[in-house]
Amino acid sequence: MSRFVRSFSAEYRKVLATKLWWIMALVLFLYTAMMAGTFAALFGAMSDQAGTAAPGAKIIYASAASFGYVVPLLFGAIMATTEIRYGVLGLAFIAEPKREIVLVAKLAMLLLMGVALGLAGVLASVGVGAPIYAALGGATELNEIGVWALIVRTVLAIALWSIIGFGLGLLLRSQAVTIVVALIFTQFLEPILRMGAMFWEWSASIARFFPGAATDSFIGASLINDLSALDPTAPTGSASLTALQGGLVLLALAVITVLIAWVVRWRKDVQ
Amino acid sequence: MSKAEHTRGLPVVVSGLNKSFKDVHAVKNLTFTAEPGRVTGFLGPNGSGKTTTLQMLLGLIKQDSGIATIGGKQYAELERPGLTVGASIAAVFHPAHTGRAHLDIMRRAIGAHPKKVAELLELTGISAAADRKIGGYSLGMKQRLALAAALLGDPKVIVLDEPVNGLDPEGIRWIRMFLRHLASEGKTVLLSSHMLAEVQQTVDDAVIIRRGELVFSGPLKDLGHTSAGPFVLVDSRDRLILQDALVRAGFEILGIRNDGPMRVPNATPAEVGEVASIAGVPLTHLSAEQVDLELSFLNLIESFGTGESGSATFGSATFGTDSFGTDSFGTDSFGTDSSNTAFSNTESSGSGELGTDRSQASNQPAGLSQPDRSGHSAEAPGSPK
Repeated sequence: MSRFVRSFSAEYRKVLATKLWWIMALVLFLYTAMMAGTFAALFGAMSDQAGTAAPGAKIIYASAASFGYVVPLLFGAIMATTEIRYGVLGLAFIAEPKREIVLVAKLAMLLLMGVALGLAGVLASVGVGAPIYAALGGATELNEIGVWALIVRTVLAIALWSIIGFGLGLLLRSQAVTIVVALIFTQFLEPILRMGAMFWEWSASIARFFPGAATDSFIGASLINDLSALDPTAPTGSASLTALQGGLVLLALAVITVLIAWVVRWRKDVQ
Repeated sequence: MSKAEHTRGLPVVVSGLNKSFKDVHAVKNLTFTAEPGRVTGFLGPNGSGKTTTLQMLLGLIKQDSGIATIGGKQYAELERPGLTVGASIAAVFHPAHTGRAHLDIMRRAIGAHPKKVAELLELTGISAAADRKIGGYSLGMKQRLALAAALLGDPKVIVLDEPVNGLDPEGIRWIRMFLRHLASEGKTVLLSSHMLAEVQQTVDDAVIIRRGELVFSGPLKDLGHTSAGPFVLVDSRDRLILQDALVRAGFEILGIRNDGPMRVPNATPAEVGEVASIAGVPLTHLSAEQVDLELSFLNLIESFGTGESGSATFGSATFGTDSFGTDSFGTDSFGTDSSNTAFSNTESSGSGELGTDRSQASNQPAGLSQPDRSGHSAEAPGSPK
């Protein structure tokens, strides 16, 4: 245990040694503030027509993860690829030759920083989204326990995405390639596939397992899912996953990427 | 760790290590020991497998066979590896970290006292740069930082990969005194270098490898005995008569067509003087050549194994001395049967003329840079570094 504490202490100090963590937190805050603010304005303007049944507030608060999850993904990926890029992974392995300890310490630190990022995200989605939404006549629902549970799940989802990014970074190794892959997949490929998959039942039943879709299910609010719900022609058998299922898919994704990275990278020779 | 181990110190024992990377057999059945209280120089050209060996010692890469231990245990099995062994491989850092942050990260990882950071910054003379990013450090400052990091845990064993690489003469002198001091405290100091000249006055023992194979292991002072020397330098206005007399007396002669004195291996000035006297040849020069460790080192790292065209190119390209080649043919034509093992070794390997080349060149002031160049030419293509 004390070996873990030493490794964790070193990893924690390592994160604080560069500006990356607060730049990422700032990016997530600003990006979320923009998205949440836009949705709040949009939904707020529509609130008199849609009535109280509209899931407006939840989508606004969840935007920190449902749109911002690319930020913790990049954070984890950069944490992994920076050490590969500068060839400094060996330093940690010399200090602690039991590599599983180093890995667990790193994951613990990533979870911690992921939660910190998540807090920055919901600070923006709630702090910016709620006042705008309320000003336009929307119901903020902040007195509801369910909404706060959603906010907590948003933070957890962001933390999990930093782990997934770390595993992905280890696997791809190249920082540039990892960043490009992360951006293309999350910003273009997955949204397009999810939208396209709605037209057929078989594809929709696959698409709900997509990382972004699972994230939305886990959190419990999704703009894309709600859009399809508004469309009466959409297939009905492809209901999105439950929060538990979504959470498990996300967790499995994190565990599998890290496990593969452990087998094919982490325990291998370090040059 | 027992009290006895404290006082005895911990030897580093490398035993039968093998490692291959794809098509390169980087380390071949390597065995040596670095003793406590001594500075052991782990020497060889670039790409000869030094770093690979140290990486195996520290568990960074896995050997195909063999074992490397520190005080009888593999690195990963040590109770407190970071406090037992202070190591620096390749002096790599995260360029955006400050020197102080780097040391703080490392000391947290091994569980050393926080005050060690400032202490070692002071000791290695980089306090002034401690809060600057390492990306802006000179190579010499990085070497000092790497040394500081290696000493954080007050280790009994210090393993340094190329610690003098990039240091200025003052820095080399400084690290020499530093490492000698550590060894005098009973610590085991193992350092690698491709430059014998830079560590010659630092190391007690030398372990020399070439293409992953051990070619010498023992006290540095014994290194000279393995070379082709000692040589006698001799010259006369009537060189042909002198050559004839020496050959008839059973001596080999090198450097016949040089402007400078000829060189007679395995002889004493008295013997050569006597031959000349009997032959009635007046000498213009007679002296014994100093045993040159650097030369012995170069002979070792290049003459073992196959004489490759790459090495041969190095010989003539570096020193631009085609005439040396001619000389060696001259030597061959004399057909002297040399009893010297080192020389018969070079001859059998087909690179006998190289020995001559280097012998001559080692007298040149440019000699310091030789190992570096030889390292490049001797480097196996694609070999890991």
